[in-house]
Amino acid sequence: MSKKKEEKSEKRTKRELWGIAHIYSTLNNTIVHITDLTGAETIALTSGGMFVKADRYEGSPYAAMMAAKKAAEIALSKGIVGVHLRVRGKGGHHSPTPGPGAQAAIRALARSGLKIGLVEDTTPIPHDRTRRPGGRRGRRL
Amino acid sequence: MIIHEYDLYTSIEFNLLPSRIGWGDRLSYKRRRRKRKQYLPVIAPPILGGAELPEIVTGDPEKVIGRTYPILLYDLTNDPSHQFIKCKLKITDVKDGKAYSIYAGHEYLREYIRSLIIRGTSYIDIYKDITTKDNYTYRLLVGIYTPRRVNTSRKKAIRREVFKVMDGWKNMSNDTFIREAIFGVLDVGIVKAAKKIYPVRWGGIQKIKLISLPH
Repeated sequence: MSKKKEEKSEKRTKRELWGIAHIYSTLNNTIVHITDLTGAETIALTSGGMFVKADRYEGSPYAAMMAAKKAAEIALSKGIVGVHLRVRGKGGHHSPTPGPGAQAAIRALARSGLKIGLVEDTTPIPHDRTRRPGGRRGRRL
Repeated sequence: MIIHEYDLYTSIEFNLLPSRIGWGDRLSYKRRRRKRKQYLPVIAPPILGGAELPEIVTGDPEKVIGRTYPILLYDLTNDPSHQFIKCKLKITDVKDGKAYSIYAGHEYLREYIRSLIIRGTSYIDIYKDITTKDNYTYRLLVGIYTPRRVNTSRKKAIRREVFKVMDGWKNMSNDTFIREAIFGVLDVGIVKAAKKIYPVRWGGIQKIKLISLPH
């Protein structure tokens, strides 16, 4: 009997499928992209602009929260148990820090029931950099 | 085959859409559409323990070849000093529902490297390509961090000394090179060489990247 029970329990055990949540947060939008561990298979892809009407709210923490919530919902329904986070800002000759939506997105992912693994900053930072547009006297409106 | 509670399916293939093949049978369309995706566990290279790692997802196992799989080195070796090192594995083969991988480099996490940089001290970066005896080419980044600010001539001297040490690594086999690079054997030689010129606060291989491998 005990053997049969063991066999049954083995069959029922679920394997934990992990993914990577790529959070790309800029001043103007937040994109939450959940992939498998290689980053090649998309599991969920949402952006702040999908949840607000006005363009100026696309980068807001509220839009980021909604996007992350939705992405987490899709990922959970597809069997993802936990995610590693890769947060990035615009980078290059723009701001090296992630935008206002990053923190909200991370919090929403954590609250949705997904396990959080490694949190990494992957903003592309150049060793030198090209000159920012705007010229010597800055951008004049 | 492992049965999951939830399964992923491939997306609709464009050429199989009913409108494309002029055939409106809903059932067969649905059947074609819901092709089940496969879950492949990744097998670590034998040099790193050969353990079975968390699965990846794919619609076609052949497409998996060539993908890179990042993992903390700590998860492979259980060595607490490897907590800040991210290792990259490259998938080269799929057999019996398992993806087999090779070592494709490692690097320290950005946070750790940032913690090493202190005002009033110097950082000397040394880049070099190394080809092992069995024709694996790696691009290495060696970092030397000094306790005080160092002038350029001393930096150049440190580079010269470290290059001499690195030239000796060409006679190694691939497995020995990986083992010694990961477990810090090579770092000892680097620090020893750099110390001849100036005291060293931290020195070692910061990043390794596999550039080419034998066919």
